[in-house]
Amino acid sequence: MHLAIGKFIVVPLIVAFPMLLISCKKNEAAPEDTVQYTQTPVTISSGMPGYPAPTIPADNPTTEEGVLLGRTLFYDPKLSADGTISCASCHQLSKGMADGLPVSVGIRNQRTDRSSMPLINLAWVNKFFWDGRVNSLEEQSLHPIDNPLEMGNSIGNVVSYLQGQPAYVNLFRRAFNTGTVNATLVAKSIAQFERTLVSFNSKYDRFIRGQEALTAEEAKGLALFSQHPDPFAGANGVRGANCNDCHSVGLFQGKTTGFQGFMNNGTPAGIGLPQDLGLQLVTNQTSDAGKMRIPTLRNIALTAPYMHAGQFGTLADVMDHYNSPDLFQKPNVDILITSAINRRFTTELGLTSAEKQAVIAFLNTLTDTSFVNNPAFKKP
Amino acid sequence: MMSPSSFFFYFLSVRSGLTGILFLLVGSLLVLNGCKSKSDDQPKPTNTDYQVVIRLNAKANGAPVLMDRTWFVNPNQDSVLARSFSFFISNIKLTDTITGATWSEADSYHLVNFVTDSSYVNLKLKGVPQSGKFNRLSYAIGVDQAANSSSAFLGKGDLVQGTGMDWNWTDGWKFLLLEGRFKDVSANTKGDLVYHIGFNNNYRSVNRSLARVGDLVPTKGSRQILNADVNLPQLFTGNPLVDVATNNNEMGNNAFTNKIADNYASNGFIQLVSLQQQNF
Repeated sequence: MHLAIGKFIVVPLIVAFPMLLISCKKNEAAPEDTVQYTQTPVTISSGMPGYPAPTIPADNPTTEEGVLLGRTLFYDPKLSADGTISCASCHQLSKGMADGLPVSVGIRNQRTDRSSMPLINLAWVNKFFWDGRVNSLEEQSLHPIDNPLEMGNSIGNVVSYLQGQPAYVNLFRRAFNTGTVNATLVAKSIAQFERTLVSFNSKYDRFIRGQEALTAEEAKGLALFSQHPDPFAGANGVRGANCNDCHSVGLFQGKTTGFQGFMNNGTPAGIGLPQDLGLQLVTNQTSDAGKMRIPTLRNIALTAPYMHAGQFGTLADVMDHYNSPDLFQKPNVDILITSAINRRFTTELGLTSAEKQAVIAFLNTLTDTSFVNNPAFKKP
Repeated sequence: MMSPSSFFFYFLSVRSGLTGILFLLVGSLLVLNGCKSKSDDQPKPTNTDYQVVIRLNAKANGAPVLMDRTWFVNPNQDSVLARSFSFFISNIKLTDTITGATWSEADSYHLVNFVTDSSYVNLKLKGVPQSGKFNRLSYAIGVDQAANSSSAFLGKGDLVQGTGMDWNWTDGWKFLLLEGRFKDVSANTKGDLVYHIGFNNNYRSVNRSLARVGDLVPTKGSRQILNADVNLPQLFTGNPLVDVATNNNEMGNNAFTNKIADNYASNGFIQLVSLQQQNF
């Protein structure tokens, strides 16, 4: 297969070179800039028929060459002001592309006020950051570079640095047919790499594909996960943990229309931090106070601590939060939380210990070891 | 498993006879393109693949409704704020009752999902034949029993996961979802409103005459837009009227959800307003 790849790339290039020389004579650009490279398309897919299609911007198709450049940039700490922090500092593959810290830490050991978000299945996400302030990965990917608490650099500095590195210039040529580095191409290539971070091979996925069975406890956890409880149904009611109302089964994240995938789940402020207004900072609507993006639960067992400022250390803590008798009284907590009760005329979710355990057992089936071991996601 | 890119090359290698020619063509196209000015040479998509659009305007008492922004008054005089409102329109069929000609949309499962920053949703019909005229529109609210009971229909139309409309393994899809808040002025109570209506028993087929708006005549080079109002207060009608203070958290298959289903099957829920033609 690899031989075949080589052959098919080399042949058209050999053919193309003389044509270029003839047809581009009027062009006074540097000779190497006139070489036209062929990019190899990469298909981003869930491989699952019932899942929504990924969103790939028409002006930034994913290519092997663009992904390689983006991946190289992703792992390069020289993009930061003091050469210590790369994207990968806060998005570590072994930690589900998060960093294992309550809030992320940038250059000179500065703490930010939010937790690093896991980078998983981002081609199925429409709003980025916890508060949804940007609409595309291309836009998102540049933000940490000039955030003073994160990489503390300027885009201009980064472009100058890359322009001075022949190896990078070569990567840009192969990815975008230009040796002139600019911020847009930096953003595009990082976004391309991030879109390849696809995780659809967990035990849960193999269960859905009929390749592996869930244990009785995991299956019970999935049933609880999926069910909005209804204590008034029949004589005994229907019990549920109500997770699916927000973390919709399949992608296990929020909706991707507008800001519908943002909810207030009553999480308290982070340690030493004021209450985070979340989406309200973007929309200026008080009804959006405290709403945060509903992240995917895929690989959730790897991405502790949890919530937007790492308020909960374990999945058991998270379950206790959702089961807390105080939760319904928290300001602006979502109606899907306050409408979910397992016993009539109560004001709490009311799961038993065994039910919480079952949900956690199910959540563990969302760990995708082929994702965290994928060599294509590691430092090139 | 074969990666997508290796599949690409596999595809090329099995067609090796054509490969050289193909790359010559691609290569020369790239060369030509590389020497052109920066102007955009890509053909512009024209979106002519759908000629009929049903534009559904979320309305309450004649005024547009934005999700999470617009409070409205329902027939029981309670105030309601919809945070999320979505439903399935499925099995769309157009008929000419004079000639008997019909057209049925393939994989006809449309999720109508209203949002915060726009009060309307365009429901695009693909493949309507550009001949004849239609004077009747048939549709259903919900997902038919076959598709509601089998994973074989996943991926057809808008039957995709992640929209908040998939329920669980045994119960199928939510047909209509209304989530928000209410204020019952007389009793001075307020609270949360969650209606998740589904189950086969709440599937409703509807037949509508187009006499009010005129015949639908799909025409080449133009788009027909059928404007319709989706009246949220209509969901709360009946005898007795829906009292949100009594029924604020409803799902399952029961007398209350059956009543909501009857309400969304009524002509007042989706009110046909006008037909307009837009030339491409």
